Amino acid sequence: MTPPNTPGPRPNLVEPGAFAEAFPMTATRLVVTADTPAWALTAAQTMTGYATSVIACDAEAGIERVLDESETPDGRPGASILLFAFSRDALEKAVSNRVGQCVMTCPTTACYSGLPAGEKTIAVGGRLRYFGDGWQISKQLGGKRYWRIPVMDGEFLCEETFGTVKGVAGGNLIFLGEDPRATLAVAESAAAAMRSIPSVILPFPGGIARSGSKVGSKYKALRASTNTAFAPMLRGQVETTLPSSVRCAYEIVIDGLSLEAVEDATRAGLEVAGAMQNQLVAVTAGNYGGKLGPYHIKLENLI
Amino acid sequence: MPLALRFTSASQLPLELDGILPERVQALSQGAIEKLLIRHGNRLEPLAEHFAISGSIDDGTLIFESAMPSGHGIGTGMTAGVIRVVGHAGRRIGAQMRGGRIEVEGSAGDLLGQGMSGGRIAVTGDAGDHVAGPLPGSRRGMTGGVITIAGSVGAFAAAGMRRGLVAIGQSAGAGLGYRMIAGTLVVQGPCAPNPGLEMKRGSIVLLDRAIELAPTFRKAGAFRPVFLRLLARELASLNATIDIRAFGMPLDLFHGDLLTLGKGEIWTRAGALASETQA
Amino acid sequence: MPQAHRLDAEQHPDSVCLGCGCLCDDITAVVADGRVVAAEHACARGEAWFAASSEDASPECWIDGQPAAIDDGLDHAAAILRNARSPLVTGLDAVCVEAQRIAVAIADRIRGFVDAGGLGAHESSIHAALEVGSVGCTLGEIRHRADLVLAWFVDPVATHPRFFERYGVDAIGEFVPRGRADRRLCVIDEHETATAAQSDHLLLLKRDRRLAALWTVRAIVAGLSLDPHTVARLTGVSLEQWNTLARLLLDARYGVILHDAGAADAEASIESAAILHLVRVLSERTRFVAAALGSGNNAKGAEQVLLWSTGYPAAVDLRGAVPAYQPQEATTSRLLDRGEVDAVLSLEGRLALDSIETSAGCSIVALVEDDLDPVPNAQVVFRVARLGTHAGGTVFRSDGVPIPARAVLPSHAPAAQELIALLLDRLEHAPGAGDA
Repeated sequence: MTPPNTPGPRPNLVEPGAFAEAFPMTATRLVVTADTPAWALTAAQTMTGYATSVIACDAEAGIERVLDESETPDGRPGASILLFAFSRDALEKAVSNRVGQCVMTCPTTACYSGLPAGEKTIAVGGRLRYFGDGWQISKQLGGKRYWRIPVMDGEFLCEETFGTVKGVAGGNLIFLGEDPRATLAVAESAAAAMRSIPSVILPFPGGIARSGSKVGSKYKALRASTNTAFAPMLRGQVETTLPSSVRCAYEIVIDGLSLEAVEDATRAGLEVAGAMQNQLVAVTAGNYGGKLGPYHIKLENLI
Repeated sequence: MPLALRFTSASQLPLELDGILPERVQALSQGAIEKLLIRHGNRLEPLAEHFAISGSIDDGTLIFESAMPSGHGIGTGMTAGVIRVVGHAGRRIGAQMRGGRIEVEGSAGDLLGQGMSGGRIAVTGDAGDHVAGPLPGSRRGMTGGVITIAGSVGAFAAAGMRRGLVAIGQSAGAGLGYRMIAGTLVVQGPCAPNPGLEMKRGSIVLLDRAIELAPTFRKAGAFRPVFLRLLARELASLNATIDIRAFGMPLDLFHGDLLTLGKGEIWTRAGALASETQA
Repeated sequence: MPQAHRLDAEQHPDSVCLGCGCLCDDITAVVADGRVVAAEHACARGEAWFAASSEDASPECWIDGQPAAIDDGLDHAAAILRNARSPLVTGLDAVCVEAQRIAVAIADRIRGFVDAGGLGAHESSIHAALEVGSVGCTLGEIRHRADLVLAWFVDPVATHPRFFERYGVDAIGEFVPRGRADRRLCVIDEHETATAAQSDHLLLLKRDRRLAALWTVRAIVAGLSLDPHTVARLTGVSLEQWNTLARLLLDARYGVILHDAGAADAEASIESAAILHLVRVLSERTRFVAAALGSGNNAKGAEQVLLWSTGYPAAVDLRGAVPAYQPQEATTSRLLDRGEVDAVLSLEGRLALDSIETSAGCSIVALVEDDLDPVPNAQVVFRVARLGTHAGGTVFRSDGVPIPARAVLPSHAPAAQELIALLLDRLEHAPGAGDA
């Protein structure tokens, strides 16, 4: 634990020049509600499952926040969810598949757009309505169109279109440590702090990734493979970027609705790292040499 | 500051006010406004002959300051801005309106919101026949927008309605929702027997405790779907004089008119249907 | 009916009786002493109508209640109408089509409203036909083909005494050779009417249950299943009885629903439309038509004249550049009730008389064909020859067939069409007749 009067992070905690290389991705926010907080959460968890990385998932998704009755369109408990995909078409497909299979199927739920419908939107209720087999009902209220789809516990209500924005994906922090348990503890605390930042999600399990990847592989079919430079047990076999004392690295990936949100989350993670610096060797970030992503989030600028 | 028009004429003959719109008046000088022609009976006469004009329209608001039951067509084709009518006004208020807001502090005549496709009309008093109805010769009534009436309405309210929301704070006459195509209609008070005849789609919520439906409406059961919660919230945000506590419990759902598609729905308080309770 | 006529009696075969909507044109009017003394073939109602034909010697024109010359009356009337800002031409249903077309021209000239008039009785059926479309026929077709007649809240035996003899139930027709024996008569009414007494099948139904009943029958014909309790409660008649009726309708080779033009209220207009809908559904399975009985006036003619001259059947607003149809605003009763007119040209004196209460501040020019007292609230009253006895002219029967009525008696007063032609002439040619 950090002594209470530690004067900020030590100078070499953040690796000099480290930056996260982030990409634009099309993003949307959903609000899922249900009769009880438990069912709302169940729906949200189910629909954000298997959505860690677009390397092999249709989208990156996560629960942004749990919402109470005063915060949802229908006055029921709910959760807000962010989803990210490479294109609006891919996002539309992913969201409607996920809502169709994971929210519509979940008892008592309803699903709303959590972003204003600007000029760029995706159809969700507009696609799912066909499940109603002709018995779906369109309803316009307050300038929004909803679809009411008859189901076995009454009807599933879903907004027709969801607003999208250009989001930022691939923000990240990598915690390097000597003791795997201590390093994980820092990552957990950092993830908790970062999750409280609005408009971001941490798509990996518990917010933390342990299998960071590099682009490409010796196997032609693979687009990505293990990040050998960060794999401590390969030290000596391949070139490594890990300081010699490091035997464990954990990565937190951040997807946000804006660059500011991703930076805020990164900063929150760094603050935790600073507070727990005696459990870490260093904090760094993953990038591709700065050639691929337009957004470079320099860690030093955020301290 | 709003532009105020005070009715100074003694004439009871029909006065067509359809060209007097905030968006049109905005670009005009006081002199030009005074010279705008309105139809009085079968003649065209300058606005100033019937109205005292004061103020300016820099806040986009136009006020008719006095009651004029023979002033018709206020806000016809309106697209933006606000028109306030202080006192009773004539027929066709907000006809073919596409946007903006009309507030009537008093009662409105027949044909309120006729052929309306967008915007918002609020009436503190009553309204006459054919609220949200079709233009003559058309079968399709209101296609969008919101009308709230605190008082009662006459016959054929929301007949042929295609889209939008109409909320009526008190009673409704015969032919309510007749041939409704879609849209949402809420009535707080009593309504004449046989609402929703020949409705194809759309939702009618009737909150009186005694409702009589045609035999071609069939009960589905009592439900409390999410859409009614959304509707209650929308009504509350519109300040409609609807007691939304009724939405807090399951309402009886009837489908009809089975003679015409049958995808319409009428929601009533549980047990409000006279033929049901005594059958 | 007197069999022996006086030797000096003059016989007018093929005279038309305007006593009711039948417009029987097989009457032989027997004229003696300047009046119709007998009407052969006419029913009691028709005889009474012809008998009320004595011409009265009252003045041809009044101005402000004082007898006046027609010329002065025309000048006065033209001035009133020319100066009016919101004039109404109405009562068209009281005159022949020849007069109606001139009346429309007057309305156009003075830029006012024009409407058939009456009590708006025709309104609901016009609306219904516009909205639903109507499957109709001439009365002759009913005579020759109909094997089922459903009288829906009408009592033709009392109101149209020769209807069954000439067009309906009792007549021998080409495809109903045994007449009454080949036809079924169903009656739905509130009471056991005279027509009900002749029916094969009677259902008593309360008037305020009409819509529920029509919906029940429509549903049965459309093949929907209905809840018997609901039907019994809503209509006061059991579902079984409605099923029987529906079966009768569907079993007909050629059915006709006789109905009334109805009142002007919302329910009546829904009812009219529902009858037309029912006919449409029945016509998918067999041949069915709807026929309005009509009255002795020329409401149908007014509808036709307004249609071909303005494009709309009633309640036409000619104030603007093009005719506008305002069925919910410009009907006679609504305009008068709301005081939205400042001058009325009424071709029917009775209407002017009835609107005393509501027409304060409104100048009235009226045509009167009865021997009425001068219309007390009218500024100018013209007496015109009585249509069908003293003046000829074309009248439309309720099925849209024009029937030429002929004068059988001479008249001192001009025919309505002559009088208003003079009025139109004044409006067109008198000084100041240019655009107001």
